[in-house]
Amino acid sequence: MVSLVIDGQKVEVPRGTTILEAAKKVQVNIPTLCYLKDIGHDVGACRICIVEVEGQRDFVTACNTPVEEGMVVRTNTPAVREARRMTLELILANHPMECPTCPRNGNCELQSLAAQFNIREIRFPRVRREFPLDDSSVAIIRDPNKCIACRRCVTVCENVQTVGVLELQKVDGQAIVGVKGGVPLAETNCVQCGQCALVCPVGAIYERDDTDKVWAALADPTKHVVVQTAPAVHVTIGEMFGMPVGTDATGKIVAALRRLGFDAVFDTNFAADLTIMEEGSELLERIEKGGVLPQFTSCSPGWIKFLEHFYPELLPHVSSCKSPQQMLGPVVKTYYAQKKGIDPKDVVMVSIMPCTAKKFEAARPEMNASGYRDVDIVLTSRELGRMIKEAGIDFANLPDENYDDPFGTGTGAGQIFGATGGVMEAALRTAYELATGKTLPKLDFVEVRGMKGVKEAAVELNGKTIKVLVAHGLANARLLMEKLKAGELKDYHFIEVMTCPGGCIGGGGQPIPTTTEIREQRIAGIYERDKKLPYRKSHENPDIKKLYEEFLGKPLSHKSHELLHTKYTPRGLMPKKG
Amino acid sequence: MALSQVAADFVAMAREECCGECLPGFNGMLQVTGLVQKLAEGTATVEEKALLRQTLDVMARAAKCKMGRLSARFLRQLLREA
Ligand code: SF4
Ligand code: SF4
Ligand code: SF4
Ligand code: FES
Repeated sequence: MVSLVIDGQKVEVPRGTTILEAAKKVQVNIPTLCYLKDIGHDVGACRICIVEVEGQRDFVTACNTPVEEGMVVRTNTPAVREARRMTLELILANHPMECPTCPRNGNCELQSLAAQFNIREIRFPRVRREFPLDDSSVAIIRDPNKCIACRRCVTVCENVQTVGVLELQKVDGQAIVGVKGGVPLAETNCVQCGQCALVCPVGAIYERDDTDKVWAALADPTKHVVVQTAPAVHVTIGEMFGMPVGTDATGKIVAALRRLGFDAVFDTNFAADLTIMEEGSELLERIEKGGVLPQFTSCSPGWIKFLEHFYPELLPHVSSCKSPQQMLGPVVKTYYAQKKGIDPKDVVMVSIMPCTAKKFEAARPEMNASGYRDVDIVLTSRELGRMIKEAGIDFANLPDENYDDPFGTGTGAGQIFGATGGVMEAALRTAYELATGKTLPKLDFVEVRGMKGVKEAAVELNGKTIKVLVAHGLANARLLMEKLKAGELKDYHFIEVMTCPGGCIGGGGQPIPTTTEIREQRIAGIYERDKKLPYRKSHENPDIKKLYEEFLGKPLSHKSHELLHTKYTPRGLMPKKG
Repeated sequence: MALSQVAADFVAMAREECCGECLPGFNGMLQVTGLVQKLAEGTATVEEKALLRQTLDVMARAAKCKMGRLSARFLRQLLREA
């Protein structure tokens, strides 16, 4: 232990603790701007966290300076306050002050600091910035004019996702983050995961806002507007309305969507159950018939794009199943439209997703199995939150409502798709029972749950041991891919990969902030809801049974293949050289 | 005024040589450039002179790289004599 004094308060902390953490122990919150503990980002760029240490002439940065025995730290002297204010003024002099029209208005770390430091004037002349907006990609928009060069996005893209398309650049005497090679984002290996948008403290990287398209569809009397809500959204959107992190707000989401004017509200949990039926059957078939193993999950679109760029040779491992959102779309535009007697051309399928990459997935040209787009518009959790606010709906106090038939029942297995390990657990619950005809003695596969980067489990299936792996965050996925290429994972059968840390509850479209702690609480909310639902195995879902009876036949049937399965596109590394 | 011109040349050099990774360093040098320019032209107001000194004070203690801190300290000394 090390003892020191911070603002006159004695404190003892373990060796290696930063001044920032030590100060919290004595109720001192040192402000930060660039630091982000969760991704190990402590480059000391912003200097907002500076403090005075007795005996040292220069300030030290609290976020990345470890405590020393006998240190005397002062966090709130006139010099410290002046330095922090001046640093903020220097940033603001370089910043387009567009708060009222900024996507981060009201949830911006720069705005909050300016308020905290009572900034009322900027003593420096304004520096004009006129960098072009990069809106080349489907889901992610970069506004370099607002970039404060904290480099969080660089770290998350490089270290957490190992995609590495962003870098700090000096352009026209300004320091901003840009795309390596100076090309538009759409022409890179960017997987559209949105983790950069999630960590950006300001409005310099954000999701494309498609709410106007949804408002327009809702206002069009000739359209039948159908919506589905992803499992991960159920336990996160409440945060935007002051509800505790991890609260299950499913019933309120349904109520809110109905009030917004959607004609039918369906549960993506149902679609996840459908995915399990198909993907589980595909796995059993690959095992029986000697297909390519291990099979990879295919429901995380960032992961798919990652493989298409970095490991195109491994694409035969990927399940041919579409993701749940892309499965529900064509079923709605065929089976449901027929049942309702609606022309599918008048059906608008909207998805509420935790994910920016889902926008990219929905826009893939091959995703039009019914002859119409599988999914027309994808909104992230954040965008739906905005629509609910704009409509003046008192979300937190809404009475709960239920989903519509015929896709209103979702199981706990579908619900856990929202957390890392969930798809695997759901698949095991079903594959075991389908293959053995026996009831699972224990439903919970706790080995595959939680925030550990790579997890594994094994289950006995008719005398054969099925070995599975689970990874989340693309750095962990890359680790597994390298092992596979080195011939190490030959005896594994199934690998689940989620692009985002924690799985979809930590997706790039989720409420900001999304920290490790928040991810854990959301995961807890996911498993709580799983336990509460009447059905917890996909194959027991009565709506699923009915869909197969009335329409699809059986898993992997001709009709299933036509509507629910897909192909991938080897892309290779971008931008292409030469 | 000759010293101010030396200061202006020095700032131009310092902007090149600093690590460019920290906000008070990078954004500070940007503003110092303009303020020293005015000083060299003899158009700096009393307020601007004070602001320049305050900025250099902060940079001298808060910048990330040694080059940034030392440049600020050096400029401050130089301008005291200007
Ligand atoms: S990034 Fe923050 S400070 Fe800048 S315009 Fe947007 S809300 Fe305002
Ligand atoms: S969306 Fe993901 S891959 Fe693309 S730049 Fe952001 S972090 Fe990197
Ligand atoms: S884009 Fe955002 S996260 Fe990236 S450096 Fe700029 S301000 Fe930081
Ligand atoms: S928070 Fe410590 S330098 Fe930015």
